[in-house]
Amino acid sequence: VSVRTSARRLLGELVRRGWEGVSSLGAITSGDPRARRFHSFGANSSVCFPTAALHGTDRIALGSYTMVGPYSTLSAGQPFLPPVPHAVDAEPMLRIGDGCLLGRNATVTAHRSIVIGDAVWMGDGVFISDQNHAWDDPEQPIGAQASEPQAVSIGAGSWIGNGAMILPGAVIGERCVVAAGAVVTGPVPDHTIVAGVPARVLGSTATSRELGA
Amino acid sequence: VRARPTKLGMAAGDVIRRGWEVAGRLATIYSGGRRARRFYAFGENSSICFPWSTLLGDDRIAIGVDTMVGPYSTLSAGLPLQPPNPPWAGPTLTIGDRCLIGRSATITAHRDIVIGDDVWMGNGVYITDQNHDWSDPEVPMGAQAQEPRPVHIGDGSWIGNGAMILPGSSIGRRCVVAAGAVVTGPVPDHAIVAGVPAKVIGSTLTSVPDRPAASA
Repeated sequence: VSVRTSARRLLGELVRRGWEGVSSLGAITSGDPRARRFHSFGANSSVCFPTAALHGTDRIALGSYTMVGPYSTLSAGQPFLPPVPHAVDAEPMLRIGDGCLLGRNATVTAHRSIVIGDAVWMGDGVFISDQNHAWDDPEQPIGAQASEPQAVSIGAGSWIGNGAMILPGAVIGERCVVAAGAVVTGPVPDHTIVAGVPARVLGSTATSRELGA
Repeated sequence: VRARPTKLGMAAGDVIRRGWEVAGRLATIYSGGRRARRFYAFGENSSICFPWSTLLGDDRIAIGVDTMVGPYSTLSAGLPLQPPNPPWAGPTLTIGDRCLIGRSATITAHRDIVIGDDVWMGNGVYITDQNHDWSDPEVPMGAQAQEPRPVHIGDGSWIGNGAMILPGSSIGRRCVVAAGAVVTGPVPDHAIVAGVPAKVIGSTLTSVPDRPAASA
């Protein structure tokens, strides 16, 4: 093996170890100065490095034993505007319970109220928002207009599949399954399995383990 | 994630996070910068956020003014190892003025993708003008390509999170493409489309949210 090849291998190993070290140290964990900027940040929780965007963290409450994967966005309030300081006694705009797992590349953008219950596990790339754009004013681009926010909630013990989208007005019960890629825009009763675009009821988690058909 | 945070570890973490934020600001591609000049056009006050996923064929990509492309995105025009864009040729991928393209976008142009002005997109939007092909049974599909079909998105439209805009899509002005929708053909001006495959469910000419029926 030539000197050049060994040097390359050594450098590559340094980059890998460095990145692992940086990722581990860069994660926001309970007690960190950055964690103290949150409305609350429970024990043994973490937001993995690197984050895509964190906005209005003083309006975000995170339970304990909860992990948010890397490349994720957690946002509370109006992005692109300077954050308005949050009243100390006010309710958080985005609440994530205990023992939750949010996969990599998640986007959770709250404008009024998003509540994620305890022990909710999500795949990667899940999108959750409580506000849509609007088209009332024909002179303005649709993207520059916003409709009235509609609160979103996800009940305890539910499972949100990879790439699912939970849109304004979605109220998901306890122990529900939202299948991969599903788009939810309304109420989903407790113990329901939903799938598809738009999401439809496929079965129940109260009965057997088999899916649909 | 470290099991037991130490004071030193926390301080190091803070330095890393701040460093990452500063690096992000410094390495983002802004108009007027050295990297921006490689593009076919790169309008004033526009930016491509760091870190990007892939940038390919910059000299075939035209970006308007006041446009932002979110981080972890791919903008691709042409193929790897292509010769430089000849001086008489126009851009392969055109993005208009005042557009907002969310994080983790993938836009791969082979012949012609045009995004108009004031188009806002959610995260993870996928746009391409060429599909793979399966005509030759001896060759893997990934190594075969169909004829590209141009893609167009009209001014003032809104593309929802995770939507997929596939070859031959021609989306009009002030349209709404709902989250997760898959578009493969024409969408008339002012139409609201949703689903897989996308179907017309309303119009942006009528007043706001005639909300689609509850999901369950």
